[in-house]
Amino acid sequence: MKFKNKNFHQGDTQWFEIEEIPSNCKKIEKQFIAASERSGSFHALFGNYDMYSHKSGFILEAKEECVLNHSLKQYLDTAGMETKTVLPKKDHRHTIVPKGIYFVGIQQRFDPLQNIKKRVID
Amino acid sequence: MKITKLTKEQENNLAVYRDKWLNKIFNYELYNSKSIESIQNSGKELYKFFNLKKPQVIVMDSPYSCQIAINLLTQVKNQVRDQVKNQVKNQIWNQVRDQVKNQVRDQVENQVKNQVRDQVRDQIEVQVGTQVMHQIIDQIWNQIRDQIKNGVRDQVGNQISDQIEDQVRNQVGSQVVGTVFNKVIDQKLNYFSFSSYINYSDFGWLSFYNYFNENFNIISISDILNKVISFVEHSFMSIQLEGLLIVSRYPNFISRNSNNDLHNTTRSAISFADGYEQFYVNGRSISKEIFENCQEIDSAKIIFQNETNEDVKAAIITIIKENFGNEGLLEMLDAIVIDTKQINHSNGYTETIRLLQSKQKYSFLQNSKGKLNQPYAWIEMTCPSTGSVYLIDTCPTFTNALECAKWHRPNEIPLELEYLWLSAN
Repeated sequence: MKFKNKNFHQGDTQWFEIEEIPSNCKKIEKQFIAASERSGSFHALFGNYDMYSHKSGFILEAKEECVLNHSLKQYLDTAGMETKTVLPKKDHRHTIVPKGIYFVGIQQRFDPLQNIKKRVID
Repeated sequence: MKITKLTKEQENNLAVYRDKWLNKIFNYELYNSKSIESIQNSGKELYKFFNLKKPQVIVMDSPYSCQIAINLLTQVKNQVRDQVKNQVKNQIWNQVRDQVKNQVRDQVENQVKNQVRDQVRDQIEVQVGTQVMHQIIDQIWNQIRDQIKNGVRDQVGNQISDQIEDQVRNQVGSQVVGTVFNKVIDQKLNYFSFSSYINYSDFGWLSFYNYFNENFNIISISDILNKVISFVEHSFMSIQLEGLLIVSRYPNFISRNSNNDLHNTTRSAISFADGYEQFYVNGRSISKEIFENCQEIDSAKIIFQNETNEDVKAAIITIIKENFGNEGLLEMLDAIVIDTKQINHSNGYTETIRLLQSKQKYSFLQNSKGKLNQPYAWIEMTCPSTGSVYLIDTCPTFTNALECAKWHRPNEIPLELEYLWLSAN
């Protein structure tokens, strides 16, 4: 991946703009980028975009300006993630995501008992 | 002709109306001014307004008590007795018994026994006015839309109703409901939905129309609007059944941080007259047990070491930092600061990150190269949205906080890529 050094984060989801969609990625249905079972909250992008799976996260191609929300499932309506909309925030303010291609991953933590890096749990 | 601009006086009134509505809950005006009798009368009038059978109105001090009361009324009492502490149960039952006649109790028991609980829940929303409320809101909205220009409506929305909606519904009411729901489910009791309308969640739209009604005199059904406002002022939330209304009074204590999130590190962040309370740190609910154990450094240390959830760990760190300062935090972790870096990101956002390490080494801990007998190590980061401080477990080989922060990004990200955020929320 070629990074453009235009990065942002919302909570533990970290976004890095890249030049093109990696060739080995598969297009998938829109879904939460991360969700917390404990609090019922989620991070998800709303608007006109395509989503691809990636071994370390997701690739998202925003066709136009989209909105990244951290909210609760109770605020999702039937329009789902198709419409660019600002939902009531859970903890983190919404982020305006400019048109572009992004690699999205979760911040890592180190487990000193197992000597491995893992996703942060919330 | 449409109204296109607010006068100076109307503009000054925006802050007045915002504060007026916020004070109703955050200055406890509604808690202090509404007696049990006035709440009962308002409940009866509410049902009459929607052409429903006159209800028995039970007033409880908290939303949790409402759930226990309805469980006591509708289930085999032994079951409830097993799940709820005696003292709490007795206190709530006495309150219910004083207000309800045996006859009604029997009626409700029989009614619910013969129905599936989900049916009852559906019935509630249909019975108490969802459709009528939509009609009322539509009617008032049409009048505002026809007579007030978009820009003025947006100005009032931004400065009054959006802020109230956020502060009252999103940052307080919804949080309280979620925590009550979890507690009721944990106790294996039945959870009864609170009403969709006539509660804290109506503050946003009511404040919006209240402003237009009193500053422009353009709402033809202002008597209906004022009636709805009065109903809401008497009910923080309620369970609405046929012939039975269980209402919770407003909270008598609320504590928030500078973001207006529920927050207190020395006591509960929200409490009710019956003593029911909920604990929050920077808007995140935390159990009473964990909260109380974190009031002392020694017990907090044990909880922290056994906790895997980063949000709970962040809450523990925040409690210790606020109550005992940075020195207290280092004491709890038995740690020293290895490095501190300040990073200037875009738009004036500055982030301070620290590397911490325990003084002691542990035979069972490894570094990223697999070498045993290592200290605990953490990278300390602060969430720019909530102000919560996170200590993320890290590898003890790091001596530079910035290099460490880069290493904690997702595995795909090359270490050479600068650690800079265009936006951070």
